[in-house]
Amino acid sequence: MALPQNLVAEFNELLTHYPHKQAALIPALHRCQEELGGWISPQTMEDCAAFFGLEPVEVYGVASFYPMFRMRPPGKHVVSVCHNISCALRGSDELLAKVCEVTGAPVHGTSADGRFSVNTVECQGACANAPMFDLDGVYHEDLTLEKAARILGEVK
Amino acid sequence: MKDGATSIDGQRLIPHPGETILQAARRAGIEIPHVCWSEGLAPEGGCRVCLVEVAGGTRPVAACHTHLEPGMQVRTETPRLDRLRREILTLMADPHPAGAFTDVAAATPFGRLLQRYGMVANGTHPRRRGDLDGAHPYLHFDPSLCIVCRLCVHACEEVQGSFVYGVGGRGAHTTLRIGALDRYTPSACTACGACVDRCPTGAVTDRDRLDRAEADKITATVCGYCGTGCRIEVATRGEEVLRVEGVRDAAVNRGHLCAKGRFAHGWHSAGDRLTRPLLRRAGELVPVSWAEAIAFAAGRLRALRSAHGSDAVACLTSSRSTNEAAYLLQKLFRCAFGTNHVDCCARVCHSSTALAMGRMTGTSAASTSFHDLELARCLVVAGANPTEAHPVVGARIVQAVLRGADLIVIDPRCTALAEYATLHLQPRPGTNVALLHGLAKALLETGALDRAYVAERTEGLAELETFLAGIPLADAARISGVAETDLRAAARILGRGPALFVHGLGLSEQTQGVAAVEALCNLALLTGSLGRAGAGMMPLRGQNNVQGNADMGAMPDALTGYQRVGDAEVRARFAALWGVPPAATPGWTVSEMFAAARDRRLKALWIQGEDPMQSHPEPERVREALASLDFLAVQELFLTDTARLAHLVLPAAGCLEQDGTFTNAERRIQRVRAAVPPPGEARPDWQVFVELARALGLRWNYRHPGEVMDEIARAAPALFGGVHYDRLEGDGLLWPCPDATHPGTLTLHLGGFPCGRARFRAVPYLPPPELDVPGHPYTLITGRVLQHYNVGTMTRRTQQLELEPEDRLEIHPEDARREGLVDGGRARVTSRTGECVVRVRCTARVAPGTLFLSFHHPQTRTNALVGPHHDSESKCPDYKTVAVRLRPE
Ligand code: SF4
Ligand code: SF4
Ligand code: FES
Ligand code: FES
Repeated sequence: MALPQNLVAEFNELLTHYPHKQAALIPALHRCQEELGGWISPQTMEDCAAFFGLEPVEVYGVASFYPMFRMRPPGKHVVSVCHNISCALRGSDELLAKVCEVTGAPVHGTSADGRFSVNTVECQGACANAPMFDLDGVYHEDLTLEKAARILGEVK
Repeated sequence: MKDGATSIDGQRLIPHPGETILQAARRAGIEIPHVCWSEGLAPEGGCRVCLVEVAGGTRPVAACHTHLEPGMQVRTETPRLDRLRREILTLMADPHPAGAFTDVAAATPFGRLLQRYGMVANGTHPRRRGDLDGAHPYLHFDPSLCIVCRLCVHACEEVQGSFVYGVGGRGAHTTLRIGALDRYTPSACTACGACVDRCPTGAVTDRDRLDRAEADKITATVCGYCGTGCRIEVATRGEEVLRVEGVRDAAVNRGHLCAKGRFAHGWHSAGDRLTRPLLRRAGELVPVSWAEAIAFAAGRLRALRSAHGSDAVACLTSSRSTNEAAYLLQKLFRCAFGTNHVDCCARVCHSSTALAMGRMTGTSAASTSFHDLELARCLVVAGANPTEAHPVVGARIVQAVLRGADLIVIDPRCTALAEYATLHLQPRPGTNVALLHGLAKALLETGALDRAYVAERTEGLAELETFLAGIPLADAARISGVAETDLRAAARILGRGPALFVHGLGLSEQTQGVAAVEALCNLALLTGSLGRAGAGMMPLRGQNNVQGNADMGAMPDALTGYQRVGDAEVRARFAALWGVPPAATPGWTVSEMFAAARDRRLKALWIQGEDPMQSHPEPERVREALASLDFLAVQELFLTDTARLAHLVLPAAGCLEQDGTFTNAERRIQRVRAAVPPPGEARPDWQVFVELARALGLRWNYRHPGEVMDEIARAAPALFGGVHYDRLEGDGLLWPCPDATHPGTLTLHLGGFPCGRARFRAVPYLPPPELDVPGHPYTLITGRVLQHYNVGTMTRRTQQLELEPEDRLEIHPEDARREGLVDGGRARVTSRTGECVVRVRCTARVAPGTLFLSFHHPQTRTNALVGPHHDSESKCPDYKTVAVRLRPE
């Protein structure tokens, strides 16, 4: 297997922005995660390793270092709960517990029905409206437990 | 402070440039505690256990990566450092199961460090021995002992060059990762064990180190597999081999070993070892006493010699045995029977090399030592696959390339080294001569040859130029299949200065083997490479002591030290030494011996440790030859196909069971010592020859191989005059070593060639008879793989078999598809000579149209495919270009 053509084209362009090939790995992994099933699969690691002249285990090292890369296939919907200072002061612990309860997913895990994955993230720059979570790329702010439960309940 | 004296713990010291505090302290006998540092590896600098205080500094610094500067006053033990180290060690040890490092693993460096600080791991998890990776025959990983110091990562990358390990996660959740799939198989792991050697906790361990059994003896000796000649230490308990370690400061291997050397020692206690002499009676091989065996052998040899003359007896010495044994066997046959029919397996491997290099430069052996690999600016690896056949040399080449040396690989296969190469020239099999002439031509065209060197040290350039003028570069490209642009690119790299040319059997085992090595030697001369440090020619000799066999005179035309039998003065000197003059006419090569046996001119053959039934081409013709003999004696470890045909089979001592010396591919003579006794009544070959000589009426009194070496020194003083067992401790001596004060010779020809000027030679390319044979669309190359050794007699009796259970036919996926073959399926391979059925491995390592098959397993009968073609001068068979066709089976 190899990377799909569109990604290869993108990555070749990407390379022109960096002094070393390997430096483009992180943005490339982001694109892979978006395009190839929402996570960094062993196949993706192997393909990226071949493209960037690395060993697959080195790609693993990079991907597993950063929390924004998922090393397991995610659920259908991904909830990222901020747990940095502002949100923490405004009750992100309770919020996270609520999110887990409503979705049935453990922190950094996926619900048994595969619908939800829940994880924590660092400050998303929405401190003024803390606490918050990011649901499938959309910010939801000034959350209360009720509001959070309602938003999640409306997800198909 | 800068003007004060430099000191560590008050001990004054002169700083060496580039030396770290930790290294300087070791030099002064002060051991600074450390975890993530290991001799010879790049400092990781992660654990901070090596913190020291420098007077005038505010914070402690890590000794492992801080240089000792003039004027520094360093303290390695202070109350503050003690407190810091305890804190760090607590953080490292605590997450691990209670007692993890100090119970069974007390013998590990990390366990000892904890003990020294009176600490124990007190994690609450139970030990998870169940996490051991049981999927590999040798290697185990126990995550509950891993402190992620990354020493294994460094070892794998900086010693072996395999890049197996990575580290995943971060912070407290950092974990070691074994390949992308967290498994040794599949991964790039070669099972070399370098990581095990460096792991400070026993987390990465192996079959032989898991239970840390106590040894009662450690024997320093040399690995008995390949011509690299790695120095090893064998730990034994009674007659049991517990484990093998590389000698850390050995010049050859610096502690490194390959899987064969480190793990494949089980053959020594295999149940089917020969333990008693066997004599054929009424068609059956039956056990007899040594006295009977020797008397029988002496009687038969004497009778056949007197009935049929000196041409009726011949011997083959063993490249697997010692110099002393080889010397005695050739001496025995020359003295007792007046024959020069003495040869060895070098005939079927590097005879082409010996002839070509001998005639062009005056010396047939490597002009360089392995040390030159580190000095080389440019390496050319031609027809050799050292990462598999000479793994420790291969690893050293990989490291040289990672450090920035240029590498040109000339190989029809995409070998592991080809992946590291600056340039990989991938010729069609059998076209080396065309390719190398093309390179010489392109080099002349760039004008970048070393004119001063060529003028001063060579002759025949004008003829070479005329010759090459007649060969259009386009022809070289067309014949070899290597693009002209690549030839020119390679010539530009070569034009930058001297290079180190490493070659193997891919060059010499061809119908134009001699011509190919000569063409390579032309390149070495044009670039001024021979006789310079970090450059020259390094033929990789296959077997542990094949160099030594040739050196000892196991050749039909030469006596000990390459002294020609045709030279009356030489014969006179040997007559004085031996009491009997050697015969003047050159004897037969091994293939001539077999032919003579089939014609019933040869009556008796003595084979010391060799299995031509499996290793020679056309096994049926070999069988016919051996079966025609009136007397065949075979000294062996196991009942091989060749031994089964013998009248007398003598049980031999293996490399772990005898004393003597081996000479490796860089001419290094090293001491071999018995780590365990041979099983049953098996005996070292040299002792057998002494007894046989006595039974034949010769008064031989050697009591120890060292006495044989003293005689070898007298027989060939120019090469071995200064070689004596007292001087062979440690790294031994590289010949020539003419006298007792001579240090041995790392690089040959520094001051000139023994033949005066080296002479260019070039003969036109001739297509090999097996290229483009109608109806046989594929060209098969035979050779070795990493996991096994030659005919596999030893490695097949070890767990190497689990790593590679059978010979596999490598085929390009496109070819496989066309032939209807699938990976793992079976194919029938048919040549004009024979056929065999093998399992297929689809891989782009071979080019379309080319196949590769190893010959390690007798049931494969690989060599039945190989035809009768050989180099007309060296008689070396062509194992590398075999026309075949395929069908699914
Ligand atoms: S055994 Fe050798 S190749 Fe395998 S992981 Fe260890 S160091 Fe690397
Ligand atoms: S490289 Fe050769 S000599 Fe060294 S350990 Fe391996 S087989 Fe033995
Ligand atoms: S802390 Fe949560 S968005 Fe800034
Ligand atoms: S030994 Fe120096 S930092 Fe680990």
